[in-house]
Amino acid sequence: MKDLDRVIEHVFDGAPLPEGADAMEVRRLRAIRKALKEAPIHECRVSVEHLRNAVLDSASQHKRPARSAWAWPALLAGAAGAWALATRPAAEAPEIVASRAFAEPSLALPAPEPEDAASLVVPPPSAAAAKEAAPTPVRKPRRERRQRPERPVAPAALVALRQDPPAALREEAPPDVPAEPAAAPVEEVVIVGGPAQPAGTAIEVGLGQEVVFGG
Amino acid sequence: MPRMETLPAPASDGALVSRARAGDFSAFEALFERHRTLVFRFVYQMVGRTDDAEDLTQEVFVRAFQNLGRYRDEARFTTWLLKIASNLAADRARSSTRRTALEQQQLGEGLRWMTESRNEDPVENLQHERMVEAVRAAMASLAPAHREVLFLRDVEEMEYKEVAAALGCSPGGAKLRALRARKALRQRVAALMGEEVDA
Repeated sequence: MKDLDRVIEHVFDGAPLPEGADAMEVRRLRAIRKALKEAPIHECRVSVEHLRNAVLDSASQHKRPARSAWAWPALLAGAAGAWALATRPAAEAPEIVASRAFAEPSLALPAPEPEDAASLVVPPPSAAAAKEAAPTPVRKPRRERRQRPERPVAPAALVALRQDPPAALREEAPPDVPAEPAAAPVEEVVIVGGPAQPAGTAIEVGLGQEVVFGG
Repeated sequence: MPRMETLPAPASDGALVSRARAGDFSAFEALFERHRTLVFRFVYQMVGRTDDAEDLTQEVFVRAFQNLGRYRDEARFTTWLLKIASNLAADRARSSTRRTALEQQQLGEGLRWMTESRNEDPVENLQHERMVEAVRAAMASLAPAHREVLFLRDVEEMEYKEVAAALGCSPGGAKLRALRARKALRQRVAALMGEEVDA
């Protein structure tokens, strides 16, 4: 079969003819190649008009490319000239733009005078169009996102040291800090150095607060 | 002294694509006129019916028009077109039912061209016509992947690099696929011609 492969490469790709090749096989393959190249050429009946209609149909179905870097309605409108593009409303539907683009020349909008052309200003794109034209934020591939930096592996000696510290380290280690006890509820208030006050007397204790005893 | 006027050189595909992107639909029409036959012949090899091939040809250019912004200039425009055509033809083949009888009828219509004489020797003519008929029938019975590579490489004589780009494989893969397709074609042609060949 290797010989057949080399004969095929000789006939079809112009590789050198292998020694001892079967002449009959070479003739057969050449005849096949010749017949293959003489495939019937059918006439393609698809015309430019067919293409235009198909493009219009696709435009009417809003099959616009998503996130495309170029605005294809602009291409459609290009057939009718820059004037049509400049004067069309911003919210115009694509099929309307497309139909105008392929309008007959007699039906197309009149071309501007040269001196008027300079004054034409293309309207700024709408917010939706600007959002569509904005580049899509590039997300990292999932595999890349999942990658995390590897944790450094502690040496075995350090691990052993953590698990069984020597006595010196144990003594020097700070004692455990006891948890701060919860504040006990205030049961009584003692005023040091103050005069005795009858029950129900409000005294000022500062910052505008008052305490009422025995009330 | 007569004035010599030189015809302007035809615009390259890249230049036409640039113009089309800038809003010149006539440039896209020029691209369509230039490459529609290639696309049609390619998809015809895949679907085997003229009307289906015409539908697909039109669809290929509509898709190309809609996605012109995604075309990368490093690839040839024809390669890009044929890749679209290959994908659409594969979708069509998956979604449609087999219409063997109609295909055979279409195949018979496609063989009428073979009755034209090409040689003075009637015996040689007859043999050649038989061979062409057998090749056509064998091509129609090959797997789509084999038909694609045979058309691109052996009919259109594209380089393996371009074939690979159109088929979405490596040049080595395209070469291997072409070899297998030729061997399959040879086997089927020999069977149709009543010959006995080694496997």
